[in-house]
Amino acid sequence: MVFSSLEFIFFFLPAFLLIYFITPWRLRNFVLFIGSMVFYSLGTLDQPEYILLLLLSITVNYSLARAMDGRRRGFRKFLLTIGLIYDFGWLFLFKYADFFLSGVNAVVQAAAPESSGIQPLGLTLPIGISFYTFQIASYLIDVYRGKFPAERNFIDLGAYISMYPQLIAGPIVTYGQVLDKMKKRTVSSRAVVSGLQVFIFGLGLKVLLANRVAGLWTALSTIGYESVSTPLAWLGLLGFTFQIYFDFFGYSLMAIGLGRMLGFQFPMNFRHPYLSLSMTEFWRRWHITLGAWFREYVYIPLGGSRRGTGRTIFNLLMVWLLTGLWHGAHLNFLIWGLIIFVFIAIEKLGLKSSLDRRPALGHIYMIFLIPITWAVFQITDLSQLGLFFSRLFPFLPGETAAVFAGDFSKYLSEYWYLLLACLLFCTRLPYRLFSKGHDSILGTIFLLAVFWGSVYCMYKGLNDPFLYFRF
Amino acid sequence: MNNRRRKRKNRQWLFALLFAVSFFAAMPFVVRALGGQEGAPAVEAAPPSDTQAESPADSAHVESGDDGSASQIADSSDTPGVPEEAPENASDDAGGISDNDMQDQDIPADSAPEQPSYPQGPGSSGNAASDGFTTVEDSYFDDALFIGDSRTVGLSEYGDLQNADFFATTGMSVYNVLTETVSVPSVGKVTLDELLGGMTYGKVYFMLGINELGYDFNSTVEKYGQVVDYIREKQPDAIIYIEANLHVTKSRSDSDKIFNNSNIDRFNSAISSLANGQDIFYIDVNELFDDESGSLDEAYTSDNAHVLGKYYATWCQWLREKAAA
Repeated sequence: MVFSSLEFIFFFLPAFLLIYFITPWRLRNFVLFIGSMVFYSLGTLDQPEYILLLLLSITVNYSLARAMDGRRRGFRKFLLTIGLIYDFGWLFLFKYADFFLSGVNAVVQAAAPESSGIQPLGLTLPIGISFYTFQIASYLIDVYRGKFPAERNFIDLGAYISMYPQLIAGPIVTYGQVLDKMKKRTVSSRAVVSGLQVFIFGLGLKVLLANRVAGLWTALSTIGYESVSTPLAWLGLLGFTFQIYFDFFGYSLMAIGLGRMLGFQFPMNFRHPYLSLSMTEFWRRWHITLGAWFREYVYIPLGGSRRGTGRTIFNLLMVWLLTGLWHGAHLNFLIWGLIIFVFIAIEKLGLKSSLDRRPALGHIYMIFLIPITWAVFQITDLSQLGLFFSRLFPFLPGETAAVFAGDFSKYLSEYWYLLLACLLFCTRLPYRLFSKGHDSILGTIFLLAVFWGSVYCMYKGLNDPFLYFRF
Repeated sequence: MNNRRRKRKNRQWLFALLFAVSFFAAMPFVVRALGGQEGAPAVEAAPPSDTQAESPADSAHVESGDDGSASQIADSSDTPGVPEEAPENASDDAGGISDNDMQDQDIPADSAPEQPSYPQGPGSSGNAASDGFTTVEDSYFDDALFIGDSRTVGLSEYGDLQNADFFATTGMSVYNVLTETVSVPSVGKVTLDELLGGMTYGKVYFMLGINELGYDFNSTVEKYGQVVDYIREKQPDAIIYIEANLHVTKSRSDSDKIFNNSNIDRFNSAISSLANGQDIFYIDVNELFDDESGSLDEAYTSDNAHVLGKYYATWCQWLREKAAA
């Protein structure tokens, strides 16, 4: 169940909030834990065992952290190692085993062409495993580091890990960020209303912008890249650039709004990333909680930038290969991570400071670079990726089939107003107006219109990804 | 200062109040929509009724009036008829037939033809049309008109029948084909009536029906027949080609309660009986793109419902070989 669905907004959320608010605050973490389990099981009806996996994960990490209490450093390290192997073992099994096997098979087949190779496992990825694994690992590491004592209350820890507002798509919240609120939090009616307003704003970004502009990229794949003109290839990529941002940002905002309604304060996950002047800056503004996780638990432990330039570059490489893989188990994600690494490394060696001094140049650089990295991100099939690049850059070799000469103007005339709206919401203006005026008459009208528009779209399409898919 | 703060708080309550009102006002629609989602396949079992036939036509009316965003939303509402109808159907279906039973019943081709109320031409049968086709030159299409939905749009954009006219838009259905305005290259923005009134065509190719699958089956078949009659009347000398609707892939078909191949086959089978082997012919492009399971071959598509741009030329070549002798 996603937040941008009628089921969630009209049934799950009101029912949950009702129970949550009539419950005395001592029991609210319990209600949150149970509610999140219900939320998770509704999303994994086909694989009910995945909920056990989540519960087991909480139990194992809870116990390991408790066992660290008052032990010697060596033993704590041993417990930490077991915990991390356990946590990342499941993630590896579900997310990366097949990718790894296909790599092994490729090597084996190169050596012995006759061999049939190992069968892929074909497991379905448990929803949210990439997110909750990162949260639970951060908890265990932080306990090991002595940032806070191990949580004694199983319900509190369970509620933190499984908390449905951020369970399936972040933001990645560390336990230190919510610890105080886990123990005691008050929710004013004001916070509930303002949380709702943030939720509606995020819902609008997801349903009214992302879902609708998504039709542009879908059209490109329907046509087939070999039949797409160069201008349309760029237009479609621009559409996808907006789609992925408002999809993810909208979802994060909804999570933040829901968190606020429950009395939490989740960290901001996006800060106008498309206004960045460099790749380095972009990744400080895009999916901030993921970047912070890699910084805290990979980059800094490796030595960060304090061990000389060579080591810094190596550390960056590790972070970006892992970041690439975190996004998906395909070769293209590794390439994507490598591309970002290369640019960040070049910027670190001096490009960034000159870009920062010349904002116009920085914007132009990012306007080209961001969409190109998204193309590598989005097209998992490498031959298709090559084909798409031959459309973006027609001097590159690639198959060309029948191209409809009017394709660019056709799609521009269909999508120009959405693209303009997306562009507007990439700037700071709408968010400034929102934070100033969300309680004003105009703000109220705006938010209600967004809510109505979103509900209308969800109702018409029943939140079907094929909403804008007509024959 | 105090005053200002209180004012702001009051406004927040205004939002909360209006939101609550909106929320509860929307609730009945949501309940209906979500209830309908589960009962959706039962739509086909519904007896034909005037109200059902009217609802799509109404939405067609709305669509033709707007452009821009509103029409995009309105156009995409080809399915909404479904959820609205479904709850009553669900109760009709008192025998407790499960979705699966319904699907299974549809699969054998001979259980499908519920005869349309449209009066049939002489000697109509699916087979009659498959005989006696010949191969023609491109000039054959000089006086050809293609009417259809997005599949025909693809044919016009990525196919290589340069001389033909195309009256096609995405989302076109038998319910809106008579009200929709379409920009026809070299003619301009016209309704079908204006186009057929101003031009004389020797051949009219007609492919509609997939957008209508969510609506009542008998009403759609009847409406389809009326549109074919109308074309016959406006272009008395033209050969009419009734084109079978293109299948979707097996994966789409297996996961979609409405846009699946058993529904497409059932509809195709019904419209094939409109062919008379004299001036109305039935041609089925699925023979070109089907895999062995009788579904659109995954190799030809990326969205499970349309062939990739480069295959429209193959389709055009097939059309050249499918001319009525």
